[in-house]
Amino acid sequence: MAVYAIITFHTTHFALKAKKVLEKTDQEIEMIPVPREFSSNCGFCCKLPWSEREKAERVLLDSQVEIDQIYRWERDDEAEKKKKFRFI
Amino acid sequence: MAITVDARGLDCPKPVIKTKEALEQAAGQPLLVMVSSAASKENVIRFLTRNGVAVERVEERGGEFHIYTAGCEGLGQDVQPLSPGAEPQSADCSCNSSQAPSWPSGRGTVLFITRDRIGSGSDELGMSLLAAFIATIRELSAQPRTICFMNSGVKLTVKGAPTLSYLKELEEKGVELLVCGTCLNYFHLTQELGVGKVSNMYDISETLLKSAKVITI
Repeated sequence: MAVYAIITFHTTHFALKAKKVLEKTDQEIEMIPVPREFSSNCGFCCKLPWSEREKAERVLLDSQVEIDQIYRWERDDEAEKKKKFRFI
Repeated sequence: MAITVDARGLDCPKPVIKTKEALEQAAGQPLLVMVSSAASKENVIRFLTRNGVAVERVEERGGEFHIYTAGCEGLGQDVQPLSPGAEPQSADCSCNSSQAPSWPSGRGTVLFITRDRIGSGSDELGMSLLAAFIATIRELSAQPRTICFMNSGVKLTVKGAPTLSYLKELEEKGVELLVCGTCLNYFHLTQELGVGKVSNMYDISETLLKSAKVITI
């Protein structure tokens, strides 16, 4: 089971800026749509290892990126990959 | 009882042609195709998959490959070349939608990615949207059979691209990724390809024309 931090933002501009800022620090981040379990809004969020969240939060605050929420996301990545699907 | 296609020792494209003939003659029956090179094996598997025939297993025996298909009903008609007026489905076929999915004039959904971003207005937003789109597709329960990449779309498939790991996952699931070789060459990215098969205009055009639905980005 992998544990991730999902950082959401008030605006897409902040999300894109967060990506830019975090990428510069060599943090392992992914920009993904906010998972359905956290919000039904159409938005981007940053996904990073849970252990990295405090460092990321500091970097974002230093760069005046406003964070909305930080969620803890537990996910069985291997099981997700093996989930059933069909070709359409 | 499986129909056996012995294409050992034959050069490409003969194994594919023999497989096609067998499918046409023995619609619905499982096939065993024997080939003697890895390239022929790949080509035959690709041909079968593209025509909706599931490959059940492949056995390697002393440099030979034995490809077994699952039962494949009604494929004979689909592998025949399309000719005008030969449309096998008519309007009333839609009534049968509760049965196996029917593809009016082709099979499956193809994603045709012709650029490295979604839409226009903001390049930064467009690139992030496309990466998020690919990331999301891999998690859906319905997936396209094939994704074709052309022009700057090929940039999604190269080493270092944020989409690389997502595409690798899709490929592992069996989604076919066809990457335009001419385009890789144009962007000097041939050596950087990280996922998918280098493909050409013939394969890509055929894939698009034979599919039931093409979604173009």
